[in-house]
Amino acid sequence: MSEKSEINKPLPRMSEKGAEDWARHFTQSMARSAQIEIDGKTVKPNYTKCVGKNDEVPEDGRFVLQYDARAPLDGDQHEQAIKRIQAALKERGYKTDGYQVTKGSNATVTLNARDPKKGFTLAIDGFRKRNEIVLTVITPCLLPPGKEQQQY
Amino acid sequence: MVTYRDLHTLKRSEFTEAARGWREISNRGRIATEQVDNEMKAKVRQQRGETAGAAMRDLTTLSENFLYTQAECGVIAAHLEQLADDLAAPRGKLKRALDEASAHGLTVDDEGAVSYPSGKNESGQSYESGRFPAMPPTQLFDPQFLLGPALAKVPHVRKALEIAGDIGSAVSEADAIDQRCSRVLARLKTTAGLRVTAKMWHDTEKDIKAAGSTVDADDIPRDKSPAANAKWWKGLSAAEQDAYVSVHPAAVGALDGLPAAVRDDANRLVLNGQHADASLALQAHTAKEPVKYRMDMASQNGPSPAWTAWNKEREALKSKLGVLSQLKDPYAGKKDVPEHKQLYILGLDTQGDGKAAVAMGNPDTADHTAVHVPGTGTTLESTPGQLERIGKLQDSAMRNTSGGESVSTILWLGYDAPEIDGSVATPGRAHDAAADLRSFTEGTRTAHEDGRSHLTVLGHSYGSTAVGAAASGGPGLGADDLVFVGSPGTTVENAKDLQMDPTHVWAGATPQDPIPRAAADLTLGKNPAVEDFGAQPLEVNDGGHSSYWEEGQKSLINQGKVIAGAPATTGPYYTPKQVELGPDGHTPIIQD
Repeated sequence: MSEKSEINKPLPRMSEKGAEDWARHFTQSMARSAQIEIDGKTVKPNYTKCVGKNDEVPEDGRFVLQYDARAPLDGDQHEQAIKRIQAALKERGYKTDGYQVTKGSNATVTLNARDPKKGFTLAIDGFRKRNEIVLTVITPCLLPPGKEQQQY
Repeated sequence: MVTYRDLHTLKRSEFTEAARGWREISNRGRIATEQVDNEMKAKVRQQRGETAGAAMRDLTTLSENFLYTQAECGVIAAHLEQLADDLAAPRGKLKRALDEASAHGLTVDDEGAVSYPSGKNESGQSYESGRFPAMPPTQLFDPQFLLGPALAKVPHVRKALEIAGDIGSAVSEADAIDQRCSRVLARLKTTAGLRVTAKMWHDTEKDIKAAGSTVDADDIPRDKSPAANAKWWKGLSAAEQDAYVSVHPAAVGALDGLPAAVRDDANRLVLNGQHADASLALQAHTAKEPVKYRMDMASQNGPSPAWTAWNKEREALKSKLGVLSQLKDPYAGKKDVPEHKQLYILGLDTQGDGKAAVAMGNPDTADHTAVHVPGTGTTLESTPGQLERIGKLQDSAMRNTSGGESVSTILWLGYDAPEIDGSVATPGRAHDAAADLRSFTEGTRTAHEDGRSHLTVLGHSYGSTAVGAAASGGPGLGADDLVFVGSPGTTVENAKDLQMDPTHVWAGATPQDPIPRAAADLTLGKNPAVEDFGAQPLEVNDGGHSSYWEEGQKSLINQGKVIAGAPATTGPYYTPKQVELGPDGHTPIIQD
């Protein structure tokens, strides 16, 4: 939030359940692209409230969802799998914000991408040391349908 | 009124036993509070609808009742322990007097009166047996006057008089102690019903203060190292620890080095008192609403000045109460609150702009701990937003850890952050904060149960100045990683001056952020995000001064990686030429 017009701009609307369903669908879709399988026990939806630039926290029900899912995969295959995800995302119109391969004892492969129109972002990390890929979907600030947007 | 017989037959162990019983009830209150908050509420949070809402309200009331029971029973136990301790002196005095009477062939009757047998004085004159009632010596006449010249010279008659005085003073002292304790215990009244009101919590504060001498406040370490604080705490018995929490919660809650759960217990007692005070203050203020509009021409333009001033004060009181309410019950109405989201209050002071240290997740058991130091303009009223930010940092970090690892993120507003005025342009507030921040991070290390956890200290805005001052001074912060975002300077010119490996110092500043641009390289030190500072360039997204926690953006993702010890992505170093208008409306102050 910032200046009046921007602070009170209508927020995108989605219920928590709708956001979670969508995030589940999307992480599974990324997993299919990477040819990996999500471990259902690792799925974790994290909800936080939206915060304004002056630390204000509206109480109208708006929220942000960070949806994490993990999939086991041998570290040698991380680059290849994540490149497959990147290609699939590109086809869907997602923009790559960053791709980085880190070598060494704590080697990782990192891909960040976003939907430039709707503001959904994706973070994909391959952690070689533990043979695991973490797929994360992060929503923009969403207001549940039927809730009145608090004005500032 | 205490009599000789009462003191003679006194068993102090009866008081310590009674205290133990009250302490046990107090502890059960604490355990029950935790069960309601952590187990029962968690189940209801999974339900939706009006019934679930009503059940949650009832559980909140129940939780408050148990917390109130903990506080009040703790105070009673503390008083009884104090009574047992205080009575040791007069009881000992009486015993010595009785031993002495026996040694001199004197008898003491059921009322404490001392009798001497008949005999002859040094001159061979006979005298009759006699009896002196137990009276404090201040009430006795001069022996010469009382006994007469003949008896006054008889040693065992004088001794009988002296012992009667000792017995009298022992009984008198015991009576004074009893009366003092009775007065305090008599004040511990409550009202019938299941609702603990703000007034009752307010009175609890007074009860706690009245119990002040039970465990000596002077024994609580002051300005000692966290290790010394921890050593003192571990040297106390469980009963003494409970008593210190009950009687001196603010002092115990502020002690770096003590377990987070202990500090949280203590600070929640402080919080309940502060919440009650704020609630009563708002009630009292609301009752004094002045006339909003006067029926005259002069007030046609709006509310009267008196009403406007009153309303401003009301809003401030509401805001303060809102913050304290959120700290009391941060997840009201939320479902499925996991353990790692539990808040631990590690410090609370509502005076002035207020100070607070609040951890999300237990820092004593966490594999990764992050201390977030906010900057300019942050006050206690910023706490709800700041807590959301440490929540986002925690979520961002946890996705980088293995499934079994835990992350605790801490909001440290333990200093007087400068307002946007002249105080932001000088490093004074940062240097003032440095020693306290060092003590806090050292305390976090000391209290950790399994040895070293991975510790990151993050500073935003002027908070980075405070972090820099703390890291460069004294023995440093002892952090594994430092992160500076949106920094106006860190009081030093190079990462090497921060007393740690510069490859673990991270700095990021968006080109649109006006603070590094306008304030760095002046009075607070070099912008740490420029290349020759020598820190790692943390990749950040575009945005204004508060963009470093925007969801899904590089700044937040990378801070999470550093907290978790995972490789963050590095971006270009900051250069002023990158400046452009920020998407959130933060316009750079200085344009190229």
